Amino acid sequence: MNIYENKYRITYEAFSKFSARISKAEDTQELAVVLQSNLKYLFNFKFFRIFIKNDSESNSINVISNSIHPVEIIECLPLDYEENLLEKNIPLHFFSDGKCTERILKEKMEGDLWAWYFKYGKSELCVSLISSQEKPFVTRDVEIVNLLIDNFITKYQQLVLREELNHQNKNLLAALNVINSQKAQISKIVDQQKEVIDDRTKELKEKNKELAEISQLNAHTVREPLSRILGLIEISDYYSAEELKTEVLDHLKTSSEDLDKALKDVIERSAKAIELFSSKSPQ
Amino acid sequence: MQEKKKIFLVDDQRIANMITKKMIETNGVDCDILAFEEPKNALEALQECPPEYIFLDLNMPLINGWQFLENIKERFTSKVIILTSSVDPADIEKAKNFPQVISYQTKPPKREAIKELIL
Repeated sequence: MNIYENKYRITYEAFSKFSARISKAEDTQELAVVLQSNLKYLFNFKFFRIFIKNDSESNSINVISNSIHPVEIIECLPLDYEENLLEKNIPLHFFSDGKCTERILKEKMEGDLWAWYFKYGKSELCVSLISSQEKPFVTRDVEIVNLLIDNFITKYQQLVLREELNHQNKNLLAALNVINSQKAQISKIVDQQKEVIDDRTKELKEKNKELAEISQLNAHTVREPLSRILGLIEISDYYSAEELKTEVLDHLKTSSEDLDKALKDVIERSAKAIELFSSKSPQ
Repeated sequence: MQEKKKIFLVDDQRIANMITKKMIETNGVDCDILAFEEPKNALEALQECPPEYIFLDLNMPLINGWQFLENIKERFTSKVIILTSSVDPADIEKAKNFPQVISYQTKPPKREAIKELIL
């Protein structure tokens, strides 16, 4: 077994570990951290960067070898050489004086810069790294980078989709909460209205009953003397002119006066009742 | 020879009793008519000699027609004709609870109806 075979055996073992960890990542941040902690077992680099461009946004993951700070996925614009890659899609390999990565690293990092272009569905990727003269990145390692990116982006897209779904679910849940609270408000209003209607109906029923009683009473009060008058007229045929004068006429007078009084009473009482009810009415 | 039919009139209105009495008398039926303005007096008279018919007003002070009916119920067999100025359907319904009530008439009394009732 020669030295290369041995090296690649170890590398592939490291890669399969890396794959296993990637598949367990729960979110894109965790995925980035897995990438950071496993990268050093796969190939030589000082700085490794993945730039991902989608329809709506572009993000990047920047790993500095031996850094103790966990990497973050940050929103950013492409670097100059990445613009070139996105335009021409041709891999780059040149010696960098550090200017082209200064914006990201806040310092000039010299070394061999390698950069590749990948396209997965709607995502475009620019993967780049800088390695030193002492520990160089070699052409053979490109295959590992290919495999790595393949694994990484599949998981990345899956997680982004999940995060979007989670976000939408949250929105839906919030909307549902709003709907539920509105529903509760509406049913409260309906209940209140129902109560008001019930109260009014009850009030109206009471009024109707009282009015009916009054009208009943009135009818009786008026009918009593009226029926006497009608009765007297009915029997008047059976009296002589003299008897009419002495017996019937006087009764007719009394009964008519009673009727007049009853009518006056009724009118007064009705007016009072109407006044009472109109003052009771809710406005 | 047939005995004279005995009839009580119970109405707090003297004139009403007078009208009913005249109506019965002019019907050609030979009757002995006693008019009461106080229901209490009528109840007392009932004890001595109950009549065949009682013309009863409902709306009276002290003892109203219903109380009068309750009082004579199951004690006397006199037939009762309610004669009232009330046209309330509830009163008509209530009258059906008393088997003694053979008719419910509204005032003024109608000659033909009375004739048929006491003939």
